[in-house]
Amino acid sequence: MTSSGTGVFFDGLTSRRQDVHVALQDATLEILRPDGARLDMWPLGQLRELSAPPELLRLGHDGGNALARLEIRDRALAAQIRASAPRLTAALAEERGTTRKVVLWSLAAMVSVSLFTFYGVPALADRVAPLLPWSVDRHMGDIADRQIRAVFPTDPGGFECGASSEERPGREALDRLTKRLSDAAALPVPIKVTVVRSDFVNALALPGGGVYLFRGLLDNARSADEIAGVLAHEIGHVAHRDGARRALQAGGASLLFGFILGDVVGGTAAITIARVLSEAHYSRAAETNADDYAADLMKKIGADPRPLGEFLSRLTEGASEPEADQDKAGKTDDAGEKPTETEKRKERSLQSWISSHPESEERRRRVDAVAGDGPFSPVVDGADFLAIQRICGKPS
Amino acid sequence: MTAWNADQGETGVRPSFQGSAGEMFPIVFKGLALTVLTLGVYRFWYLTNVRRFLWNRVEVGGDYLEYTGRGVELFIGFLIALAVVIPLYGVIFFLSFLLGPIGTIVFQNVATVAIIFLAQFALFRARRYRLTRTIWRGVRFQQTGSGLAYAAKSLGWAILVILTLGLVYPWMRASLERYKMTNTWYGDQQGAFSSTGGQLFKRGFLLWLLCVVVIVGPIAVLAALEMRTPGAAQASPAHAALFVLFLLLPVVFAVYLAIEYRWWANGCSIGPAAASCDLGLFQFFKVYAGYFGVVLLFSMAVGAVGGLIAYLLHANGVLQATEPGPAQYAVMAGGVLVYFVIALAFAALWQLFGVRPIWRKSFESVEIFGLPALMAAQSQAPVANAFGEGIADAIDFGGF
Ligand SMILES: [Zn+2]
Repeated sequence: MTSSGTGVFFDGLTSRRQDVHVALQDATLEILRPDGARLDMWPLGQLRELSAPPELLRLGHDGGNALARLEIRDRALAAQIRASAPRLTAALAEERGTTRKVVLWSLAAMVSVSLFTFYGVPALADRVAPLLPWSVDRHMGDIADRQIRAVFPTDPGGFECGASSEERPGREALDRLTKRLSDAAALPVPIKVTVVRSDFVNALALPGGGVYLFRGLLDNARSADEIAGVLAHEIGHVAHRDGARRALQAGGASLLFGFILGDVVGGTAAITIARVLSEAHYSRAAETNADDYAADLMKKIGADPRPLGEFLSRLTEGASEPEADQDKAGKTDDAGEKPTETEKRKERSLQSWISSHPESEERRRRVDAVAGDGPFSPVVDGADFLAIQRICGKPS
Repeated sequence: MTAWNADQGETGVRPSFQGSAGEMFPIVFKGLALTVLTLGVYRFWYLTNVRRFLWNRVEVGGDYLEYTGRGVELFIGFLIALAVVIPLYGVIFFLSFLLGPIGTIVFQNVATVAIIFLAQFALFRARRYRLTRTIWRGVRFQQTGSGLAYAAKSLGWAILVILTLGLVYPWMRASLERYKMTNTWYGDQQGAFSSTGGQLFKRGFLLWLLCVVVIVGPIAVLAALEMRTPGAAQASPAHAALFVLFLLLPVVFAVYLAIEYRWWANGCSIGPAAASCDLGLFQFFKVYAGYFGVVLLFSMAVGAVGGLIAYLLHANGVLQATEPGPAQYAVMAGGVLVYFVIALAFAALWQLFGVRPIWRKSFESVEIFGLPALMAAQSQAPVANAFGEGIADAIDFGGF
């Protein structure tokens, strides 16, 4: 079997272009000068196809000069060479194989990392959190506390309410309320309640016993039992160590991804932990458990758990109104009056409470179911409730 | 007809590039999609495929370039760079903790200089990688010289540029390009660079002046107006004029790029072969404008489709749900997916309508003289150190 055609040959030493005659023999490819003299002879088994534009076949060969090239534009001859050289595309095929492996293993790694992040890490965090010593919770709580105090915008008068002489009675009343709850809860860490001078309607628990009540929440409460219910709910988060659990989850996940993306120092993980702790955005299951805990705790001190549920659903109703308010605010804006900054913030804060505590109606039903019926007595007397409401000074 | 060129006594050879957007599309699309799917790991193979497309279709004197680089080389280079850069960042991070506030500021400046130095080093090495993977007519390009020397040189020049408020920038360019070109080899033929900083200064000066007028002029006028009668600037037509002039800046920038490229290409030679470039002033601007147009069309199409989908979802009440439910999660997941697809599409459009035409114009605007005299060139050494480009990739200076 012999077929032949023309080609262009480069010897790999100089950039001289030589038009050659190519003869395809049984086991070799002969490269001949126009006068018939043989320039080179390449064994078919050593031919390699190299990357080239689609209209030509670019050949190199093992064993000789690595840069010598034979380019064939004759399609028929190219097809015959392709058919008869056994290892022509071996290198290209090997490269394709490598590429396929890279893609497949990257995908596999991504799937296993995702699965581990979404299922493995939370499960691990659930197992590990209860085993940690409480000092770890307190340490995490301290970090989050510093973070919140540093970045959280509050109204003028200092971050924490209850320090001045005018505010002292409120502080004392709140301490009495807290003491009843924390004595009944009997946790290994002391419960430390901080009232934040902000119209945020929110409350959050840090790991290790710190609880923040925002003034906006106190303003919206109609009885001390409602405040006590929220407080009991947050104590539930502390008791269940939800903060530590959530920090472990988020920190573990971002440590994992940080490791993959090259953040070996773990900076992202540290930031994530601090951020997550100050958001205190728990899973639905954690919220339900905290509600159950709150109801039990309230019953333990002989108080009514149901105001917690009422409070929740009242806040939800309040949250659906701001849309209408916003329209009004827009109109007054047109008229030249600025909507007050507090109004805007209130809308935002209500939404944030709802987003962190969803499904209020369902939760209310659940709390009511746990509550059973009385006899209940108020946690503190009416005078104390008034004092607590004025813990941040006179209501404006 | 004896229009002999005085120097070479021959007509030049004009390279051409035969790669259409349609042919490039599958490479870009597949590459970007796999890059996203593999969280970026595939990008070394993608870059290699794009380069093969760009190189293999450049024809000079009837013969095509050949790119012999491989994705796995870039990948290993990236791992090496990671091994170098991550401890470095660790040290920077750690030291900035240890030092006091003033020490931190000083240290951060030192760290910035170190990173610039490393980046220049990486760029030089990346150029070497690309040259050693480029073959034409069976002869390989090479780069000698030291990356450290180049990085030191560019750092020194950068300081001079800052001290002279940019005045010596053209001379920096000339000096660095001279270093790069004299260390460039085609076989055993050494490159050279003959353009001077003075030439670039002369050609760029008018443009620079125009820039100053465009930016500083209106601001000064506005400031003067504001000084005389406060509030006047807001209503004055100078405000609108300022806006229009700012729109001119991209044009000026694109024109400058063309001037600089022409200056550069005209100075390049290898052995007895020299280039002569006749790139039009607005050729690069045309590419940018074309890309902008394509992006605009694409955005309008996406906007129309997106609007329709949002309307349909709204009409079906999906977007109105206040409580997070499965429908809302589905919408959110869809949104994230759409975001990635759109980002992907913009990157693909840039490759197809930005990179590709600029590559074509860069080659087709050049005429090469003296190729016959080059033909006796003798090829030298085997493949140099394989792992050149990694550091550039790690610091993310992707340009080719
Ligand atoms: Zn809660």
